Amino acid sequence: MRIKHAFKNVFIGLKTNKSRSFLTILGIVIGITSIILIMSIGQSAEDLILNEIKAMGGNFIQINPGKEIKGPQDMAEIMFNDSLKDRDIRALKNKNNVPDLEDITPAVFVPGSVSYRGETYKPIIMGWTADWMAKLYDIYPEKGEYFTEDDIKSLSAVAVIGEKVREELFGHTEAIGEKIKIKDKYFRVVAVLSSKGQVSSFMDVDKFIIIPYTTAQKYLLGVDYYPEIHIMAKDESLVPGMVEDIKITLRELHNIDDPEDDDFHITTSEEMIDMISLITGILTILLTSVAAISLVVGGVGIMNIMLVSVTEKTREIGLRKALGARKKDILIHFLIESVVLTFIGGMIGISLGILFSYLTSLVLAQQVSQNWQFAVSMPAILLGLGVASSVGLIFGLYPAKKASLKSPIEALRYE
Amino acid sequence: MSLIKTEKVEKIYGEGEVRTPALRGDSFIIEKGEFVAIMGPSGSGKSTLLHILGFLDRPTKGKYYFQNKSMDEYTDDELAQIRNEQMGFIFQTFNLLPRTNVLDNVKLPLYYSKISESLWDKKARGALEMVGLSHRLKHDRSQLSGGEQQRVAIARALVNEPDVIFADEPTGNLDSKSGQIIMDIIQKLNDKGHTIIMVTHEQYTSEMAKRIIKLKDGLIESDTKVVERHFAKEGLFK
Repeated sequence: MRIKHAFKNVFIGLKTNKSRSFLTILGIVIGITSIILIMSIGQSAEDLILNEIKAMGGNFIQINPGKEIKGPQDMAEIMFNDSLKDRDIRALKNKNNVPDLEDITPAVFVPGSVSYRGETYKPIIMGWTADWMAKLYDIYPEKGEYFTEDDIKSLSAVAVIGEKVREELFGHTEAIGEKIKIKDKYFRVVAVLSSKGQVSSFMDVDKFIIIPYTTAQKYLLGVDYYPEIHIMAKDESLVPGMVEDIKITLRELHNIDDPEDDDFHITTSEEMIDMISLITGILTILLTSVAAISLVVGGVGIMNIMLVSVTEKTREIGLRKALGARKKDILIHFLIESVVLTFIGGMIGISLGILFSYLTSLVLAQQVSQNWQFAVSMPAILLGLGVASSVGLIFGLYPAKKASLKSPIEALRYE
Repeated sequence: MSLIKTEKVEKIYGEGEVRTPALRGDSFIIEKGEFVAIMGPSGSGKSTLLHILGFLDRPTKGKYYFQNKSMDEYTDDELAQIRNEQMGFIFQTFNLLPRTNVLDNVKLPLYYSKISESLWDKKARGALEMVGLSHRLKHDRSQLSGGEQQRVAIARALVNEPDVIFADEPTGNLDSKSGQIIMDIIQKLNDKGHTIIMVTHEQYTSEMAKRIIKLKDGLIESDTKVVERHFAKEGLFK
């Protein structure tokens, strides 16, 4: 009953000092808004990337040369490491070595631009097996046909281009059969991909040119190694066993006895998911901590205004004590005031955070990926309310304690 | 058993060089049902005495027995409980809560009592009826005259049915007509058995009490029974 009375009193006070109350909680509002926004965006980013990885299927794995990437310097190692070559592909294709392997293709990345009759465009050029587009992403040619195994074997100069590439180079004219120029070499366009836009945040297929990996490797880059090998297992459940088979095969081929000396590393989609979750998790925690600092600042603001409130209400405290209020009653009274303040701040912050997250998701869906989805993280909301209330409790404690210790007669005499 | 008994109660403000004695160690007894006016010029220590008797302040030296138990034996929270259950306070400046209606102001002591919430409304209305303000329950402090505010304050002092009511210059901020109404109510409360201890500096008002204790420089100058008592209901004083 006393609590009810205290709440009633607090709301009367807040109503009377509307603008002061608002300014007091502004720090809390900003802090909570940022936390909700950051956590929601983090959640959306994670969802997006994870969905993309899941869309590729759990049976997808990739092999890169060099050790597992632990830092930027390891990236260079992948690009220029020559441990994965054609003999590795042949060995892995051998059913005796890796019985659960369904399909395998190397992937080669070619830096550079493409031109056609004076029009130049900077696409993403990938040496690959074109029909993996269909296998991984369900993307089929809008026009023409994907190049075949024979094209790959014979190092054909053929290209599958994305919708954006076609538009930039050809405009309204027909693309199929035309010759485009990549690095001074001519390639015949055999297919235009149906426009799917971004299938993932890593790749916008509309900006892709896919050529046979053999052609890219020998004809354009002049190397005999692969920076990446893609493999599909017959079934998701067979992946762990297949990974072991691949390791044994490659170690045997590379004369490696100690797994520590591996000159390749395998990433399953499960590991990709773990890695992405880890990265987005770390980023979210980092940014949230920064936002949390504003909550401390907001808390100091609360403490400041609570001290003012205690001074203003000195006579009231004296009166209440004269009428029988104990220390505890006064303490609770002021704690409720500060917690209610920060709780309201938290609620406003959460609402604004959700609103801003939604607006941000609209922009990001335009700019980054159509698959960007608006997600409100429930833990963020609970965290926001919890943190806001605790800030009120912690920073309200000192002023409330000060109020409760006032002597009734000195408080009553206060002018 | 006396209600109030003081033994050489001293109150000294400040320390060392700036020590200012407000009460210098007099003793007296107040019985249940008395109506005592404490008089004296300003600085005589009358307010200090009232505050100590009302458990709002502790004496520096000496003993104060309330219902035969020394104040030293109570903790601050126990003092708060006794103030709540057995004492009522009326202040010169009324001290009503702002932005809180008459009824809720009167209920204030009940929030800190053990009385069940279901009785609060009835008790507060009863107290307001006693001071003749039943028609002003939902009014705010700012909508009331000084006399009405003081009547609300009296209702608030009454609501827990205290044994003793302390009044600090209850008519000090009022015009004589309002003051008369207030004093009439206080006299009636005394008739009903409430012990009243009232600080005043007005001779006429003090003669509405049954006993006058005159203080000067922290000491009792005189302690007399009122022979010709005034009754507020008999008309305007002075």
